[in-house]
Amino acid sequence: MKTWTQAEPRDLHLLDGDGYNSEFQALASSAISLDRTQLPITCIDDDNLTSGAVHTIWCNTLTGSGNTDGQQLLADPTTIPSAFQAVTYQNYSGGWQPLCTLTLSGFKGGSLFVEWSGCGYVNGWCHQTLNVDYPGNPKHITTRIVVAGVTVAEKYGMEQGCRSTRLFGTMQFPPGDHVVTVQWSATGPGSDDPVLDEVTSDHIVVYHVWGSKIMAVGRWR
Amino acid sequence: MKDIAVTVARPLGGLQTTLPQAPTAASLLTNWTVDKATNAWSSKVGYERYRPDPLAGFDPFTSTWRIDSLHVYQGASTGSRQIILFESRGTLYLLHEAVGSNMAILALATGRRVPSAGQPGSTYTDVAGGVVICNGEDTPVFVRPWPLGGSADASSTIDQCIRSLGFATVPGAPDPLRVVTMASTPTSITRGTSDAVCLWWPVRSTALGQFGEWGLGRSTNTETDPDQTSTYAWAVSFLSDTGSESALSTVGTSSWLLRASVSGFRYCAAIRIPVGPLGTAGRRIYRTKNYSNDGDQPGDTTLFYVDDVRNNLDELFFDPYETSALGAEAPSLVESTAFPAPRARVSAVFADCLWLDGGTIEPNILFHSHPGRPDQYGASSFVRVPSNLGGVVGMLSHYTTLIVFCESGICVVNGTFSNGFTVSSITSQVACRSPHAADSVPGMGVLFLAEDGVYVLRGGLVGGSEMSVECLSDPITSILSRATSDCMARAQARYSPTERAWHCYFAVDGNERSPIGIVWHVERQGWSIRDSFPVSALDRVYNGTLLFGHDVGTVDASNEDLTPECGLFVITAVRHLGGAIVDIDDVPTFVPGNPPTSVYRSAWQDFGDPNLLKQVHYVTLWVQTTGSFGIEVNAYKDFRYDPAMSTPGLKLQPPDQALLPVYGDAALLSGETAIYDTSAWQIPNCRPIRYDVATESCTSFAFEVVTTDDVVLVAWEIGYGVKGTRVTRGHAA
Repeated sequence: MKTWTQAEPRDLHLLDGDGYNSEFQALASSAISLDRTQLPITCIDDDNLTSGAVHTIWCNTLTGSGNTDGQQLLADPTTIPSAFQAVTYQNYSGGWQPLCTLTLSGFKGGSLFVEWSGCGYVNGWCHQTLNVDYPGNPKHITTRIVVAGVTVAEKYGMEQGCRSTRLFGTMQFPPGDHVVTVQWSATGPGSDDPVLDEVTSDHIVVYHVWGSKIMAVGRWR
Repeated sequence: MKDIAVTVARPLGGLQTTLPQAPTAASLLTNWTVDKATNAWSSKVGYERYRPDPLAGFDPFTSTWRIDSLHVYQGASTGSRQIILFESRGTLYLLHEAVGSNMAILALATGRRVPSAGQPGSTYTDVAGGVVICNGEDTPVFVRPWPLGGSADASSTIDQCIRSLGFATVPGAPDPLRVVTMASTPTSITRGTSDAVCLWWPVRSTALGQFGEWGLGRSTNTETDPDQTSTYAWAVSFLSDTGSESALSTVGTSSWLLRASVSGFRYCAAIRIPVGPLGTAGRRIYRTKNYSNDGDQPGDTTLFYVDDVRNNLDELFFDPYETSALGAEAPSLVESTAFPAPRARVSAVFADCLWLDGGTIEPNILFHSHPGRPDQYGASSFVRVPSNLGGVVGMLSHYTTLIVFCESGICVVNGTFSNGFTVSSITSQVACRSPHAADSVPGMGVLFLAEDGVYVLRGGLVGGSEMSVECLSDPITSILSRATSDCMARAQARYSPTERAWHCYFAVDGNERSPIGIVWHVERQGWSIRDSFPVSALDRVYNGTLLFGHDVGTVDASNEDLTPECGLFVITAVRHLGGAIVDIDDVPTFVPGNPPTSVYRSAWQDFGDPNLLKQVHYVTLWVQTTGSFGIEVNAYKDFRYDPAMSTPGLKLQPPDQALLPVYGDAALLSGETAIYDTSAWQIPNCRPIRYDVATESCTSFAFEVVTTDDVVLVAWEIGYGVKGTRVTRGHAA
């Protein structure tokens, strides 16, 4: 806490105990507080003041390259021209797939809030399958946020059509450069699912996830 | 001395220049403050650099000129105790103190208005999470001083700490992509060239998944009316980082019809949404119901809440929500409109609303925001101040009212946002023309500098209370008459909790700078003067110490051997008036300035009967023991300008005991120089110091103490004799 002159000793002036006490009290108060401006000049400088001392925010944006542009890992370029070039049953047979990642460099340990948002699409035409005499194979996409191998949040949804969606959660984590991984999983192919346009031989798109954004806030005090 | 009568002044009053004077008053009281221990007048005043580092000189202020405005943002929600903002020569700075020796001033904005000598500096108002800054010419800005980190980070991120206040205009209209409906086979879907989507949901129970829960528009044709049409309109608003919501955009519409052979599907719309300006934290989407002639609400374009986009990045939003999923009706213009006060001069927070004046274009209008939302203004969120009071000059929130200072009077605003606000005129005879010359004083009310004096506004208008305006400055009218009236708009006033005093500084004697300070001391209920304090802008830091910006700065940098004072200073008990950087042996060295000269001159004493001549024999000063320097007393008689005599200097030591130890060089003093590890610390105590005075006969008498040393003046007494001689007849004309 910065304080200024409370009493100034001067030539010919009394050896004032009250003045000494008030000045000493002010200086002592300054010395034990966080005011860096009254400490010796080289005591604390940029080298001692690490950015993000209280909290840090990490994020990726839509303008980046790689997996921030969409769900790229299973992009199928041979879908019908009017559809997304995305997941087909030619390139996906079920199970968790990585969607995007974000490295939390310098995470100091403590509370972590992490949020993913994006858009998802499920081709509802495929629910029924080609064999109408038997139960269908309903489609859905599940997303989850995994940090350091621990699932922070998971959402079962995006059953049909196209939706903007958001998923977030908070959890305590130890220090470390943790990696946030957003994963998706969808209903796998059944025996009667349509996979190919018989006329054009184009693949039928079943799922698509894109516009992924991750934002994480680490707080350690 | 049996024939000697004694008059005693105890306790001592404040400055009074009017006649007749109270016996305990002072004719001159310059550069004194109230000693906390004794409640007496103390000369321990001065000012020092805000940054006390002995090696820092005037860094980081060496490039600053006159400080035109200053604000200390207290208790910032940023981890710092306070953040200091100030303007100099058109640049708005933030003082970055986080890194010790690398303390720096960071420019938030340049090219801002430089106030003329007759214009007030910018006004600053603390709101949740930031500071609003107005000056009447530049668009009001909102500064959110996010923790800036180290020097490099702070320099690169400072631009993100400032943005325009409010929403300058409505958002651009959303742009829905064309909805293409299902064809009989996927390959026959005609999507056109671009900007179209075909995103569908089944509605029939024979479909799998969540049939019937999602989708917009008609799902079936009828035999008599094929080509069922669905028409929707979307609008968007911006959500700022203060929680404020902008006005709605104009709508973007989309319409589609079902193909005759395909039914059982509803559709999702994809909408391009605008990205908001800096400070936008999200977008809010609104939509109509299906208002086509085939829909349930033909012609009804009422908008309803759909969803929030919780970022300012996404450019595409997918709307699959059924009508039943829509939320509340969209806000009207009453809730939010474009920012109404782009040239606001002053601002204040009252009833949790941010208040702004209309600037020179609408000088009689006060706009107010929604509670807790400083960026959001409704179309009807304004009040008019009585036109006979003139334009709005300043605002101050106090007690249960918002005090509005106008060119020709004062009015107050009462009420709440939910119940409405009312304006009441308080006076049209007293006006304050400086937005910075008013502050609350505990136990008194609001003290403010008017054109003709200093007034206090007491009371309120709630609970049967009454408001009153009383003049406090009658004792110092002659001081106020020296004011440079055209520069009164730049007067600065703040209450200091540390000193328990209200300071007010204004230019005098035709000058534009070099102000004089008048100080109202709460304990003494009296005035004193501050001289040689170059205050241009004034505020107080977290502990109540007054902080001021220099009124000249580096304008005199042509003198290579002397770097004059510049930047920020604090008014403290230091015994110097600032200082300067002087080259000593080619080493720039900070040299403290001289101590201020303190002058105490008693009131003119006629000892009860001005018709009788008196012979003053002595003056006794009751002072705290403060040292071995010499204090002289000048004796005046009969209102003469020059002193009749000056006494020898006396030490402020016990007159009848051994001298107390003092700081100093042992070679220069005999006996009283303190010896390390031997001399005991002393507690100052009150002692009488008697000065012999011989002024011959006089009708009125006054004495004066002029000092640059530490004096604590508790009381005084004057001993005099009266022989019964009356004053002589006046000169014949």
